[in-house]
Amino acid sequence: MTVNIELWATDGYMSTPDGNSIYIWGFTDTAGKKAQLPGPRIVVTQGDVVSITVHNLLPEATSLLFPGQSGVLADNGTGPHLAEPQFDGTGNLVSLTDFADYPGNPGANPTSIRYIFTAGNPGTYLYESGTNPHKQVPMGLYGAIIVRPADYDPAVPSRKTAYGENTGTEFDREYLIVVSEIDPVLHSAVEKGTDYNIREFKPRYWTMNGRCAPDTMFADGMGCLSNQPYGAMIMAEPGEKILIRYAGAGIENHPLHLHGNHTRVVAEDGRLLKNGTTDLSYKRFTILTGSGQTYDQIFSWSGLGYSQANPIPTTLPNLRNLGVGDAGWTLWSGSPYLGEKGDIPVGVTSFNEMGEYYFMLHSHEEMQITNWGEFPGGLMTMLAIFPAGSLGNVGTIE
Amino acid sequence: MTVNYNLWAKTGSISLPGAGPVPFWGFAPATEGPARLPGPLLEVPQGENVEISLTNDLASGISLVFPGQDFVPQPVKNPAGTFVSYNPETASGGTLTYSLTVSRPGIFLYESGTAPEKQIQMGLYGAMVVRPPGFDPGNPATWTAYGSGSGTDFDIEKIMVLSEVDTAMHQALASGDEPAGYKPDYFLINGRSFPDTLNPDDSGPQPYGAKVTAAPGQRVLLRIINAGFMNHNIRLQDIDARVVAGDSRPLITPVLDKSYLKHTLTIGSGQSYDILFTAPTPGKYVLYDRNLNCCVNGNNFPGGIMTLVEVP
Amino acid sequence: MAVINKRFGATDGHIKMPDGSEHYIFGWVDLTGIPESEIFSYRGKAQLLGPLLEVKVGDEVYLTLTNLGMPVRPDLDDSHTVHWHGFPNQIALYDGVPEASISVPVGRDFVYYYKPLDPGTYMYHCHFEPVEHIQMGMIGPLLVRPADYDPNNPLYKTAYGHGTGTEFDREYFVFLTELDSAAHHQVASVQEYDWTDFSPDYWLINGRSYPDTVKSAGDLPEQPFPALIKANSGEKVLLRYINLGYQQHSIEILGIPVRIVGQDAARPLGLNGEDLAYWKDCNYFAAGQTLDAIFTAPAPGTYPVFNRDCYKNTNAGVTPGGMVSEVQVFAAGTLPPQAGPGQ
Repeated sequence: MTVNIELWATDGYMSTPDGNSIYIWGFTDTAGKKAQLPGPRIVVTQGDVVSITVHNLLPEATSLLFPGQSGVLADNGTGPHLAEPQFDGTGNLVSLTDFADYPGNPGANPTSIRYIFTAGNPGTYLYESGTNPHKQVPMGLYGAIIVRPADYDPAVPSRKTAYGENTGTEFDREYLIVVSEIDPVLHSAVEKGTDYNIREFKPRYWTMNGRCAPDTMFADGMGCLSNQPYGAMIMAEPGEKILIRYAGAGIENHPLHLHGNHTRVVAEDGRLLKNGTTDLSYKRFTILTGSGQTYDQIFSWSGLGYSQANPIPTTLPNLRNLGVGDAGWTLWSGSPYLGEKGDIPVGVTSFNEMGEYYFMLHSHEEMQITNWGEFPGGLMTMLAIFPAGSLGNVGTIE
Repeated sequence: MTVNYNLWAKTGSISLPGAGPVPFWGFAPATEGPARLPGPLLEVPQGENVEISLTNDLASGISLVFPGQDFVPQPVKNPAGTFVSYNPETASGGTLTYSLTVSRPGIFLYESGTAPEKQIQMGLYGAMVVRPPGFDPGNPATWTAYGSGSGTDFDIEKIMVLSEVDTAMHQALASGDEPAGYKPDYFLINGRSFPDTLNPDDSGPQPYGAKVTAAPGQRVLLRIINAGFMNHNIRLQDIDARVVAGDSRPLITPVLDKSYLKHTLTIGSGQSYDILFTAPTPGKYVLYDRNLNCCVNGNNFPGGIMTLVEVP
Repeated sequence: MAVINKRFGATDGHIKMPDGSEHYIFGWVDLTGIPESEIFSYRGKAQLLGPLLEVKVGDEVYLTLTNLGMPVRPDLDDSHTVHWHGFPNQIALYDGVPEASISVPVGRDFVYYYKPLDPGTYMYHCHFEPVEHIQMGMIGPLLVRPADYDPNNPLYKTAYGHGTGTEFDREYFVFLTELDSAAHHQVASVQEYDWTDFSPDYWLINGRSYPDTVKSAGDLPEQPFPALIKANSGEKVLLRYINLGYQQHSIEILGIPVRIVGQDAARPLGLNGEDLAYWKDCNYFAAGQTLDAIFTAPAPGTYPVFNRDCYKNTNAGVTPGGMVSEVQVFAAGTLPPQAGPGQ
């Protein structure tokens, strides 16, 4: 089938947990709305013909690249043709692909452009600007594409997969985490129209799905984060297969370390790590998510079998001799056991709902888990293991 | 069999888009003529003994090392036992011969083993390609990177040596001053920044072009080796490319095919990867560093590590 | 299987760089077996790296963390934790993330319990305000032996167990970190430091920078892990690479390729048992990752080990320094059997 998507490239603001409001460029799929960070998720099925029209409301030309797709066509009014690097009249490269001009440019080129491609392979992909990408991508002109395998059927467990039946990529829940960086000096310079030197690129914030921790742990669509609609908290039950999709939209490579267990990387850049029957998947506790790359992993946590009937072999000190909620809050339940709650010191707020376990997922370049130097923040979220049967319909991507 | 090379280490000057002449130190293939960035490409059959006679026209001692090759370095230490050089030094004004036997095919660097944080940055590096048994330059049917059964048959080969230039460091070292840290502002393929990467090969100090031209259906082998001091994330846009070797170890063997598809590949300093693709439908395809602050010249896009694959 | 009782103290201290500069650190000190009446004499005696935690699959490991406080910064009443980085299927209580469980205040003890499941190379570190506590030095090496490990039987002296092709004669850590001396100075001076300004000027292997890396253990008592790698020609050498810095590094041994037989404490195996081990000349890896690499010691000689990001081979801008060390290969039979990891 053909999937038609319209995106507007425009500006807006993102919020950071330390109260900063940062000017961004980005995409929205609703005319008249501000840009969101990252751009709208695009979910299609293998074999779909994907048609994406970009309307440019920015003060300079913009475009879209689709790394991992091939045979991408562009149509800026003259009919579909192979999307290619663009050169000016004197042979200078001006864009990595066909672009939409900006409103008011005396050249009067079209300010909308349509890209068409057939989603040939399932997997996780980025879309991102190919025009002044050293500026436009960090400013926020990026988003993610998920391509479902042709036989995808969420109602049939063997076909609820990342890469198709019998590829070993079945999952119960899935999460997408797009990582990037924010150098506020760049954003401020673009907002004011002043000069910025990319050689001085120095991020002060790092984002997961456009948010800095602890905002990463809020649900999708929080009103207070109107332009950052996607949460980044992972929720699972013991033994479930969790598909975690990482995409590196920034300029830097980020080593993402997930507590709780290894993950198994089953695909990179939207290509299954298999050659015929040869399986090339691998286990890691830290995935170096390179810029412009994607990593699909399967995670499962089954615990160590502790319960009141099989107690931990150590004795918990009393609350006078424990640090709990040093900053006034905790995710700790007060109990070592999944699904149980214990005592929390008076004055400490516990965000623990039903004795679930929390494990951190973060960049191990630790300055990146701060917001401009203040821990906790930045490129960090939590994985929550809830008691069996307690999670409803979370961990779905529509 | 012995293959002999003569190299002269000299000062020179390279041209980078938007910068004035930038002083560098490099290797020249002849006593007359300019030093090159990167140094002359050395192409030898596997199993040969390679003897490189190095003449040092620079002011300070230099040396040659062969990372990834089967050789026993002979480090030089000062009386306190601290490294002066990772291999014997060729003194200023002197000549010394370095030899090694190339025991496996692949793409390798040769580079200075003396104060490498300065001398490699100044340009004392080059690439060596070692051909597998049966490789006949005159017979395209024999062209493979790693021999038959390695899945590396190719029609077109392009070697890409990645590096960076910190122009302030170059100016400081050329003037005999101490540099202030490493902060590169130019990013190179084969010694050139885009758009110079698109120019054909020439006989100047940056003689190696980096544009790839291939007819539809031709098998193109890119041999990318990182001589710089930072990682680069090489992306081939809109083309499915297969990684067929890493650090000159073929990933396809008769018992196991470990090759994999990747559109954006991180290459750490000192590492090499061979990637293979079939030239698609006619068009221009861009290859660039997805570390987007490395596809600029100074502060200007486009530039840096970027080139084109042209399928006419 | 054994019951292993260890006790690590958390405190502060000082380390030296080869240029004579001294740097304030937080860190660990081994209190195992120290009488209770004497533990406070270890305040201010942190070492870099922390003591090696060496255990075996199936062992019952009781690790007591004792927070000794910071004599140089008595105002700094930070708690501490132990995070066993990479422990599979961990529960929150023993995972050491204070926001998700508990931490250990000054003057208190807490016992962590582990029953290791998988062999390999891990690391441990404090997870309390980790951007500060890790850079300040609260880090250490951790290795898990396979259940059938037997140092006296060459077939069972392995990284991952009998029959896994991971036999070795000697083993060494290559534990990478960076030192941002400005940050350490600020912390020592009770000043704020903006961690996004992180800009190291020393690059360390096993807590030392060159040429201290090749000195003996006793030469730098606060930095007790030499980084000199020694072997007799023909011996198999296991290198346990750990990156617990905040940068990506590319480590090369001139003249010696290595075979990667483990990553992140897991053998490179496909789902059908495919052996995905591979050879490498230059190992590029990131913070929070580990590699197990094996090579056969070649002809006698000195083989330089260095960071191919060559600007990291300096001490405060002065060469040589930083992440540089040596593999020294001797004629067969020269060195006696290795007494323990890194020795």
